[in-house]
Amino acid sequence: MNRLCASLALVCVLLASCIGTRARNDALMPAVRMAWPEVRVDFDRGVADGINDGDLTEMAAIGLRSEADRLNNAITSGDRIALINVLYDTEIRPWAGRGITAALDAGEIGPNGALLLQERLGNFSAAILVLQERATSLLPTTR
Amino acid sequence: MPKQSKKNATDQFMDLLQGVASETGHDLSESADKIRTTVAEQMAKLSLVVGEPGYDRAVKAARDNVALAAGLAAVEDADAADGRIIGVIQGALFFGAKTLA
Repeated sequence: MNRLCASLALVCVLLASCIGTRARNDALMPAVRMAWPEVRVDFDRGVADGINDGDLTEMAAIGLRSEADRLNNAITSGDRIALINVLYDTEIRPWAGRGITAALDAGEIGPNGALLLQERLGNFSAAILVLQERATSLLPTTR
Repeated sequence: MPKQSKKNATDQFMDLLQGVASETGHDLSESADKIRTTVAEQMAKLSLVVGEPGYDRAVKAARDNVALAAGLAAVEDADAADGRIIGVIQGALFFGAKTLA
């Protein structure tokens, strides 16, 4: 399975490389696109945990998932302007972190694995921040 | 008896990475140290995960950590942004993880 995943990931980035060396503003997007599905797994786990523990209503969860869908659309389409309006830090990151904790508490992952997942969430968040800042700089200024 | 290579996995990986960079006309000098450090760190951390539940998820996290670190470095070094460079990083990390498992 690992070999299959590695092959698929390799094919994806090799296809992406056909475009050639990208501009600096585009440098992060391939890595963000690769990491997002696993971060989404953590997010969904965290939201489910919040509902189970009574910290989230179903309605609130729908709003959070909608925000994650907006991020998904921005990442998959490469629409940097759409990325600006995603409430990542308040609506997505905290629940992804909770998902990692919930998975650890449930014994689905071990403590060292959890550290790697937390590190990824930190790197992913830093990357989203950079992309949002750079996208903001692309907006036309009003005079 | 063939002479054993003294190079560790990270050194071999960096040789491969620099080779691909050279073949594709890139210069990774600005990012190489950062990438080398990240790969070595992630491999060391992965070695601690062996035997824990969710190993496959940890491998993906390590892969993503290297790619994201390379991507963040690439913001400052356009040559490292090339998809083939990131592809080599992913492939090497998966190979290393499989060896550890």
